[in-house]
Amino acid sequence: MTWRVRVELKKAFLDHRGEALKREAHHFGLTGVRALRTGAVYELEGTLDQTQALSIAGRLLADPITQEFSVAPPPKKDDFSGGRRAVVWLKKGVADPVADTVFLASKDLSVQGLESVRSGHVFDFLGTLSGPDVRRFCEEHLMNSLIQTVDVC
Amino acid sequence: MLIGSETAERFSSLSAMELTALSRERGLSLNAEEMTTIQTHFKKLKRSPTWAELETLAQTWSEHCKHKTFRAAVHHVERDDHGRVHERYYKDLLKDTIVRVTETLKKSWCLSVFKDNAGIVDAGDGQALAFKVETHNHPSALEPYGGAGTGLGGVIRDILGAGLGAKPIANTDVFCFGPLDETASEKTGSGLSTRRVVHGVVSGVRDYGNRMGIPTVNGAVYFDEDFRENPLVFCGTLGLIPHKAVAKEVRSGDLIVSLGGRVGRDGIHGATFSSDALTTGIPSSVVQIGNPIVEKKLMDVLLVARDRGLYRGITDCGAGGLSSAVGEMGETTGADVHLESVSLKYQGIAPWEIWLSESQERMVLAVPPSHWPELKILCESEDVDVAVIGTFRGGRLRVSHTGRALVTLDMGFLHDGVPKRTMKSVWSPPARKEFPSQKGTSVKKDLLAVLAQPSVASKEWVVRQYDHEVQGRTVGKPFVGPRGVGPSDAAVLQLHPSRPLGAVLACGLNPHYSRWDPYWMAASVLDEAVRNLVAVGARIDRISILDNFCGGNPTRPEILGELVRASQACHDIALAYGLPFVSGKDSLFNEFVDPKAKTRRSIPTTLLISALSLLPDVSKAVTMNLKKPGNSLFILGETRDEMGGSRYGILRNSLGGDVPRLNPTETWPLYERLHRAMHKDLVVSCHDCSDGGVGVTLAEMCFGGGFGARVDLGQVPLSADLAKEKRTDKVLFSESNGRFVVEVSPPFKREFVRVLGKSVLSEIGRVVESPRLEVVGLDGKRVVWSVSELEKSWRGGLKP
Repeated sequence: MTWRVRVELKKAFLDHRGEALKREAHHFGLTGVRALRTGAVYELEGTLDQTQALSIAGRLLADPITQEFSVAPPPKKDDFSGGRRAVVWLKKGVADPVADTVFLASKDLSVQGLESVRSGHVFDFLGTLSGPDVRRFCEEHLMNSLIQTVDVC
Repeated sequence: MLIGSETAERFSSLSAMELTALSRERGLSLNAEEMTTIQTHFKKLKRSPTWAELETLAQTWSEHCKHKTFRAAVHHVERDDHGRVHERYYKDLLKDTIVRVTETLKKSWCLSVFKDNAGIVDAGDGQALAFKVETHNHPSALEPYGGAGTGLGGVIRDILGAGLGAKPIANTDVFCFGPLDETASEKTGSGLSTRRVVHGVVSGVRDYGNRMGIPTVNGAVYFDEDFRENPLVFCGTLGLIPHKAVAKEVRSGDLIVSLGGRVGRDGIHGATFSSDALTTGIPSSVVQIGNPIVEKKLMDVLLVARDRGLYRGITDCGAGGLSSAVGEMGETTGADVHLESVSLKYQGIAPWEIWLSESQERMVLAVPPSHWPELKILCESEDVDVAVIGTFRGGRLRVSHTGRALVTLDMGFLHDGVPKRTMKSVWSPPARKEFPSQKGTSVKKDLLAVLAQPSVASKEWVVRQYDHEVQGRTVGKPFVGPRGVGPSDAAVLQLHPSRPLGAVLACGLNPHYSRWDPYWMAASVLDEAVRNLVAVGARIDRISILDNFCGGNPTRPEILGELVRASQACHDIALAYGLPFVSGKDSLFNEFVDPKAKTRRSIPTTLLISALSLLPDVSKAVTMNLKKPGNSLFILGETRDEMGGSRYGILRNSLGGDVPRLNPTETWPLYERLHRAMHKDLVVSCHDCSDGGVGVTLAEMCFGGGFGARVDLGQVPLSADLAKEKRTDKVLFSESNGRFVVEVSPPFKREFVRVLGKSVLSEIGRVVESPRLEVVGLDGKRVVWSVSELEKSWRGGLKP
């Protein structure tokens, strides 16, 4: 079973990185971006049930004061209303020290059944935007195509 | 072309052309002669090599590991300014220049030079200092964060693998980037914008160094158009090691123990990839991503194991992975390796990949069998992966996986079989151009503009991201003065909390000078590194230096000619100064080849000199900020008409003028006398004159201290030609070597002048309370800057 955990700032907190990226997006020509929200995304794979995945997310991956999280099976196809969502992952075989640390830390939390972890970044572009434009922006500003891939929906 | 997954079966019948094609196809980076040598060797053995054997030879014989260019026999031809031709033969470029200095000087305090992972020098009190500077250029061009981070992680492991392991106490970092004002369409060789490379590299060094708990204390950042495709990333580490841990050995029967990170597919072919020009279509497997937390645990365990005497040999797993580390350690004993015992990150990795992977945070130890149980328990208690992967024995390198032989190589052939290269180099001086006239310029505006050039401007944005205080040793910090804004000349580290002894670190770098003459570029950066040490009061009889050469494709004679000129200068000046080289490294093929556009661009020949010395009492360290109104300001050394390569020349968009030269018979006695004056507490503050000349030096001293200065340039000792010209701009911005501005308290002026003896010096002004820098030019006109506008320009110049 695979669980996807998404962690982002609570709406009450200013997303500084998102604000900076919004300015960069405008400079790049994506003038249709009204807002840009950033977050972290993890895929937890193994014989975990939802309670265990929630435990890892709540106790390990999210700061309870400033962040909120969601846990769900990965969607067959990413869907995002209100704009475009870009999810950046490391390519297979590229070292993922964040994932390694999550894996070790989950053991310290005595969570059983976790077999592998993947970490990535999620960017929500709010506004009217074309997928190819967002992909181009991601490739130039948010990722390194040599070691990362991006899914835009 | 070749059949078989394990054995290159038709290898013995391939033509030279086919061998070269094979080398290219497999990413071996070996030339036809080297491939033919391997073919001949295996013909004698009456068998074909396995792929793993070819890969092992390629790693061990790579430019990255063997320094084939610097170890080559070179026939050098150059023309002088008058068109006369001079020839010179080097049997071994490195031995005939850099190594010869150290061998000639025979300093007893050099404990280990050019043979270990770092140079080791005596520091007194039964302690020694291990120092190493590495480059990680190609990886950083492709993946700046991972490349720079693992560059630092790698040099930290070099220090952990020096002797039986030194405790890292400081990091240094020096970067060369393309300009930051590029348009969106101008990209680095990897397709990333320079801005992203800058952010990635700085973050990579920050995250690795800070998380390891090692302060980053010294460095430089340089911007130039020719580094756009090939940024340079130099990372250095200084370590403290007890004398008794300097020597190490490997004995037959010792266990081969792998310690630290697990092996994945990351970094495969890193060494061979670094030995070729950067181009498009690089696979992601060459990229390494570091994990400093794993290395921190590895470091903690190693230092405990060292003190308990649990191993007697150690090296780091860097370029070439296990193939290089085990091959190197087992050179005299042989090694028998069982790859199935290596800890893996995930399953499905081919045996040859395990053997070559450059997965980070790993060390290899030679452990007496009786000590293995204790080492295992220690590692397990600290959650550090450890495994016995074989035994040092048998005289040959034997590698197997689940009983299947992968590699059986003669150690002599592996280490000494690479054919020595014979290369040609040429050099001619560029046609001399005149430096533009002063007409229509404004000294007032120009000083502000020079201060704002990114290479001169404050590197606060970079430096403040680094923890330079952790471990509590940093006495001389990157920024000094009451407000912490003055750029210090060198870092001063207290080696032990209860003793005053300190280590001092500094560097010199100026690749722009290479466009005039790489010889004087090298002489100037060596002098700059030394001046920086002298400026803070370091002992000048205990200076040791490290060289890091970076250049383009050395198979082009004109590129090699530049490297030869620079190496010769290192020899000449270091010998004249009496400074031993204790370690060094080269990184060549820093050239970007665009196969679509059919263009290539090379970096200018670049030399980083890192310098290390001691300071008997860190409380006596001299800083560069002005201290007290009423104090006198002296300039030491002669200012000459040497505007070539200057920051002012860049401002004027000029490639004219003469590059700064150096006369060691004038500069070295000056340094000795200045050091004596400091030792007598006659110097209140001191700052060397380098990028931007006296103008920048005075400005930095003013805002560093929060005081002003009143200076008469008419009092500056000038060369005869410059005295005739009477150009204020040249006197203010000339970058002549061997100069300092020194603040002296009035009661000590006479004694200061007496101690400086015959050296060229002059009192040029004094410190004033009012925060204004007033300069009277050679034309008698007064130019005034407020200290705040100088500071604003300098602090606002670097906009990342």
